Amino acid sequence: MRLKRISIEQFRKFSAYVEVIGLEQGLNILHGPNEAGKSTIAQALRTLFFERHNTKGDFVTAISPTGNSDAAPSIAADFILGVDECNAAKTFFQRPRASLTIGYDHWEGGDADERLAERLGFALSKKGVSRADIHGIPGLLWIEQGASADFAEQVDYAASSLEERLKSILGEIASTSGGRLTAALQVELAKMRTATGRNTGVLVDVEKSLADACEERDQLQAKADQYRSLSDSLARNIAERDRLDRERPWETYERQKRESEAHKATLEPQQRALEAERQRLREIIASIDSQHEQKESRDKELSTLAAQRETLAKGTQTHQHSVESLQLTEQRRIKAREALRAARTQHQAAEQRQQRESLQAELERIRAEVKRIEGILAKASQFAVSIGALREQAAATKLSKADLGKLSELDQALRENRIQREAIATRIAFRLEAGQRINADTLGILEGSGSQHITAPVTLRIAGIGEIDIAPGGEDIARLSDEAGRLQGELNHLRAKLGVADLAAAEARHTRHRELEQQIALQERERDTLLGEHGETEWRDQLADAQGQINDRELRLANLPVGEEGASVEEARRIFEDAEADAGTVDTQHEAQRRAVGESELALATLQAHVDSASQRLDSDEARRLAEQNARVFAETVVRRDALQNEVERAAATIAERKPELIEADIQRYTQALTLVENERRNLRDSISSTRAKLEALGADGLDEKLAATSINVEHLEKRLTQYTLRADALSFLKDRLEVHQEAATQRLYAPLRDKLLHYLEILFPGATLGVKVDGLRPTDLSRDGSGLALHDHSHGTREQLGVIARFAYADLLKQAGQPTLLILDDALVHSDSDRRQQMKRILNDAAQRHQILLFTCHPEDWRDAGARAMIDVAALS
Amino acid sequence: MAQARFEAVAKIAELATAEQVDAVLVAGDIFDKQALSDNTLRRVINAMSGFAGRWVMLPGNHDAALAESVWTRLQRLEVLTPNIEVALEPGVIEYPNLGVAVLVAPLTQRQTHTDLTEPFDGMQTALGLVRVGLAHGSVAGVLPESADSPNPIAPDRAMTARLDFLALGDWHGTKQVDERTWYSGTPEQDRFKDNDSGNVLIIEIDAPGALLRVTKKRIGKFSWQVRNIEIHGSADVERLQEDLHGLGAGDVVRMSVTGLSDYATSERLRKVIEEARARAHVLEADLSGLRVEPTAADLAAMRVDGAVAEVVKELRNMQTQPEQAAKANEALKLLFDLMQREGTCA
Repeated sequence: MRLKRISIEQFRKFSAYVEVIGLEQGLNILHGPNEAGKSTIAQALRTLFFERHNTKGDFVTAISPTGNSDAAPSIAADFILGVDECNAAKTFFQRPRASLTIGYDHWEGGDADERLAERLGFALSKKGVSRADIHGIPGLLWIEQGASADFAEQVDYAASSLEERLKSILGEIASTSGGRLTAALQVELAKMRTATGRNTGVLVDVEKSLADACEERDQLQAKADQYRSLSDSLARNIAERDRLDRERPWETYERQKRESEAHKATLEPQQRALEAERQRLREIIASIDSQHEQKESRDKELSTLAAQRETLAKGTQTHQHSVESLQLTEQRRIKAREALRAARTQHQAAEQRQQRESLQAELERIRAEVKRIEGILAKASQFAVSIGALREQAAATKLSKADLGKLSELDQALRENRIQREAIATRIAFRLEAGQRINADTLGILEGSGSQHITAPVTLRIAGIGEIDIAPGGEDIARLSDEAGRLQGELNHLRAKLGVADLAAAEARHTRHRELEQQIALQERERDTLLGEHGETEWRDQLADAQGQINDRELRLANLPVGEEGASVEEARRIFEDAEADAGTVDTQHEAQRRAVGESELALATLQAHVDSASQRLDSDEARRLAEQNARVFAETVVRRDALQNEVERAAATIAERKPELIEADIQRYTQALTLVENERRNLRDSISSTRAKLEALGADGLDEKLAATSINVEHLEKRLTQYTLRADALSFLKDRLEVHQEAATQRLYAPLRDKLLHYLEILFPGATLGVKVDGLRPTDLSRDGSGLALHDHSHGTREQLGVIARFAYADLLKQAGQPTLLILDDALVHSDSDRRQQMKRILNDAAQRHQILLFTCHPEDWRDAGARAMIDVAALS
Repeated sequence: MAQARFEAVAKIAELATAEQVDAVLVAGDIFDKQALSDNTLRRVINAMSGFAGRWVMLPGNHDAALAESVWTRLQRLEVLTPNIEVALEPGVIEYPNLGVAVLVAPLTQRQTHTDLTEPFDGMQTALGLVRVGLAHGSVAGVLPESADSPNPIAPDRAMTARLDFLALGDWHGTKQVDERTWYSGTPEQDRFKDNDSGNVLIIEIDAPGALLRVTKKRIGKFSWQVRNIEIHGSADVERLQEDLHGLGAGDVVRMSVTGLSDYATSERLRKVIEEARARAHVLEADLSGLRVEPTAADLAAMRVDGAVAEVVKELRNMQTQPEQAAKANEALKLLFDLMQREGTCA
């Protein structure tokens, strides 16, 4: 296919008519800056081909330059398909129309739409705007802006068209019916096997039925076996019973038993006689034993008696010694007691002596004390007289401190008052002629020289001269005078009261009083020292007490006898204590000996009694005679025993010769045999009847019939299972093999696609060892130098390049199949670096040898050297 | 099948009545099992009621006169009519009115290793009575190895025991041992392997020592047949179709098909077998030995191409290997069936 011319009017950017002309075979570069209308041209082509001419709706806003449906967008293209000149033209919305001319054929309207789709390998939308999933081959080969890297979906969308168109070179993509067949096999297999190979459905049903039938059969078989073995056992038991009934073995046993019993009966009298003699022999032996015992007992007693007698003799002798010793001790004891008594008297006398001495010493001591106390008491009464005198003096000189103070105060106040009065008093200084005098009234007679203070009006009478009244100035003089008068009055009163002439006398008296009191205190202290802390009364009590004591001691002394001189108390006591110890020791010894003598006396008496009684019993004439008689009887009995013993042995031997124990054993044996045979018969009888009952119960059930029926069923089911298993195995095998072969076939069929891809990849990655995996029509993995990587895991740039390459490969295949190819690359390789771009240019140039390629770009300089045949500036179109 | 056996007994009774025989002798294995249901026992005896004459029945190895057996049970059920004699013990049973003495050797255990007919030699019978022996077992050297009982019978017993006729049971097919010794065979066949089963023998003897007249009468309802068919083309299938055309409700057939066929022929074969199966009482067909080899035309018709063709090739290789042939055959058939179905659906 080759586009020659495109015209566009009222389509998006192009409101006015534009025309793209000069499109050549091979690479055409449509360039222009952004917004120049490159994509509009690409979209116009898509719209022309993909959309029905009468499509409405949202489509309007997408392609109308105004966004309204009042436009009439129209697109037309001239192109060559094979050898045919073609023209396609469509107008939308307003006056929608379509026309298609291929060579000499011409279509209009819907026919034109459909014919165009059919020729180029895409589908039309049944209703509304066309979608990517029906764009088919052009959808794959016409790369939209930015969509070069992703082509998986586009391949899927184009798959059926590709398969159809590539049939001539790829053959059937898969076996005609392979896919359907695999699915059908799967359906059949699923009825019997799960995906994991487990049996299911009808196969499991049969298996289960078979297992059930086998179980039923086995159970029946077991029952049938039981039936057989029961019936065998029944036959055996019946045969055995019949044999017994025929042979009647019990009759033999009974006869033999009877014979043995008769034999046994003939032996019995002899056995009884023997038994009687044996009894007698036993009795004689017992009697011998008893006599022997009796004799032994007597001998033993006799020897005991002899021993006792000896003991008695020895004991008597010892006792005698003890008695003598006791007597000696008795004498010693009397002596010791006397010595003790003497020592005690001595000791008492010494003690009384010591008491007298002690009492006398005490008396002296108490008497001295009495003397001392009397001395003290005498001194104390002297002190009392002296202190009483002092107290009288003190009382006479007693002046209270307050009175003395008052007196002192008054005196002081008077002196101060005089000073004050003199200070303010009128002073008269006078120097009189000798012999001259002045009667100065209150002031007395003035003579010589001197001075006087006048505090009260005074009248001076000078003889001869007259009188001079002198009145001291100011009223204070008067007041002070009054005060002085009052004070003097008080003072006089107090002096009178106290009986003192003046203050000095008072103070002297006070001093005297204090001296007296000090003396009293001194003497009292001395007296107290003398008496100590006890008062005088106590001293007197002590005195009385001491005197009482004296009386007491004197009385006691008088009562004590006056003894002679002797040993000291200590000495006397030591002697006494020694005597006491001696007496105690002797007493103890004496007591022990006395008790020992008593006891031995008693023991001897008891022993003597024993000896006497035993002697009487054993040693008497009577006793000896009896013993001799017994000895005789014993000898006789022994003789009798020996005779009888011989007799018994002889009789026993006679009987033993006839083996009575064997006869007895025979009888036992036959009895046992009879019991056994009886038991056997009874058991057989029971077993036969119970087995019969069981067999009847089992037999009536038709066991063998059922067994036969189930066995047939088992066989049948086994056959069915074999068939089903074979079928399942065959299905499974078929499915597996079919899948394997299909996969292999598919791989083979896509070899051409791989070759085409490799052709371009070798240009893109020069020098690398390359491999491509293809799944269906889609390359999935690319391996370079041995390391494989899924396509979608490559970088975006590489994916973009691979995307373009893949389209070229498809285009090559289509071309080879004689199908029209047109490649449109709208900004398809924008992410390629300059190295890759160089390789891509080679690829473009290579592909352009076979296909027309429209490359839209805003960088024409990048692609100019890619073998472009035409460079069309889109910006220059409008 | 059980029903058929009751019918066979009834037919024997009917035949006996029609032929006016003196007695019906049954040489053992009247019952094929011991533990049969009461109902079955009653039905057998009922089926015998069609002949009011003398029946002499001998316990065989399957119905031996054990301590507990079908016979003791029949006695307990009280169904045996006076004209039915069960020979539970060995000896001579004389029927002076019939002019016959029957020497019987019943099996009282399932198997013996002694010849129970040996006492026949010493058994005396009244003068003038025809001596007929009735026994069950295998005549040494006459029957094939597969004879089903070890109970031995001397081949010359008829002679040594001066028998006019020795009626034997155990062998399922009708078989003559010597001129006076016969196996009548089972009157109703119940397995494939028997030869000439389903008959009774009518024996006519005019007087002691006289020659026998033996007539074989068919009683069996079912004809048991084993057929091995070889198919090597459509002509063989046509021939088989004709062959099977005669099958009816009395036929029990086991068929084993081997050979080689194309797909169409095998389809045709299956159809023929299905048609025959509808007519026969039983028709078992084993086709696992038939190799289906599709022709190029088959393959083309079914559009076998691509991967399917590869699989077909593989399967055809497998058909030649014995251990895989069955699976390959089955797989091929399945494949073609499926393709046929898919094809017609497509």
